[in-house]
Amino acid sequence: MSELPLHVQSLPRTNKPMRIAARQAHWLQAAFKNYLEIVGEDIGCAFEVDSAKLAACFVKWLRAVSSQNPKNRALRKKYFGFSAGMMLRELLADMPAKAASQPRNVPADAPVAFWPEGVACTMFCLAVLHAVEIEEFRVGKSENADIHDLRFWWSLKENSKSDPNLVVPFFENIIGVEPNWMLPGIFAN
Amino acid sequence: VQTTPRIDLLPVRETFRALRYRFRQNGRLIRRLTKKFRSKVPFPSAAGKMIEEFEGVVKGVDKYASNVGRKLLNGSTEEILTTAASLQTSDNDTLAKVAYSALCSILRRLGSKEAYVSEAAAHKAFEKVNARAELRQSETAAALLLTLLDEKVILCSADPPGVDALKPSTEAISVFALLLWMQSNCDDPLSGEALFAACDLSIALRDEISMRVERRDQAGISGLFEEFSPHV
Repeated sequence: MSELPLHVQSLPRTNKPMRIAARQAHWLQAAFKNYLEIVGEDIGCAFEVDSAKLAACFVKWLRAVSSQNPKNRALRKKYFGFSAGMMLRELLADMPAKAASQPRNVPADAPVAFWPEGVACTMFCLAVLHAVEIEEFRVGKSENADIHDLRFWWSLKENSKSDPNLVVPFFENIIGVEPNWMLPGIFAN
Repeated sequence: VQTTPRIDLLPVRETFRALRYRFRQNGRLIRRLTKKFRSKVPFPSAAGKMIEEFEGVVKGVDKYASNVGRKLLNGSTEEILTTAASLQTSDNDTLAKVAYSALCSILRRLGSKEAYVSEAAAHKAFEKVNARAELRQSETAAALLLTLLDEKVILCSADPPGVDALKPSTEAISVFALLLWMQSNCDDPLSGEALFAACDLSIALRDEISMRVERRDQAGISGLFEEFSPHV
């Protein structure tokens, strides 16, 4: 996955802070569709996006993260990472994207060839988080080396099917935050 | 100083749209029938030629209705949708025009091709529910939702194909989407996408909308608007 660029610059322009734009359905929908189009061009496979499913993911995500907002400025950075993980939880659970074909531009053993939709959604969440963190804290996250390993993606895919909440600690692992395996999906203060 | 009296074109628009609606409905019926009979009638034959003529009449009427519509309605849906409409400050004429155009777009998004939208009914609803200073915007919107439905701003002559899950509340979901969008105040480069986002959000919330509308739960509807209008 690391061979694929994060494409943060492909996120749509907005005159609001990125953390606010990401909580607006019209921006998120446009960003998601645009992002998957660009990733699709990179890997050589088009994605179809189901807008209604994406909106349903957005509603579930918004409710889940709004109810856990710590309102404590010291926890904002951790909360943003958690929120991005929660977005990935909803995307993987309801999967609004579908790869139209097997990726042509990547080796057959690349993670994105194994699971195009899952990797693309993860990259999208990373890109939005990266953009928010650059804007809010002038620093972006670095990715964990595990994500270059196919076994990581196999494990994420299997675990997301058995318990969608486990996606959150997997994502925390990617962004280098201590994963909360005990109470996944619950923001730990 | 003499001024030209202002002509109220709303009844003219409404009458024209009702006529066009009937033309198109009948046109669709004639197309279906001619298609069905074409296979049974040998061509060329007198009956075959007559069927061909019927099809020509339908096409002609449709073209005529489109031409008159362009002249009479003065402006495309897209142009009207860029008009800023605020529930708190816009006049009823503007709100009704914007509501008409937005509802047509929403219904197309939902796949409902045969619904009839009444600008006159929208106007009447906006007149009935005047935004009062003591009410929050979401409370005004909730009252408007129920009034617009009572006034039958949308008449669905047939259920839209492919959206069975929306039954029986296509009207409620469409009007909810309209009012959610009207409260969103999107002002960024992607604001044109906001109407469709409001529509998709309303589909995602369809069960809650249907339940609250059925119970005429104004406080519950207002709560949904308050929760989601900042997130369109």
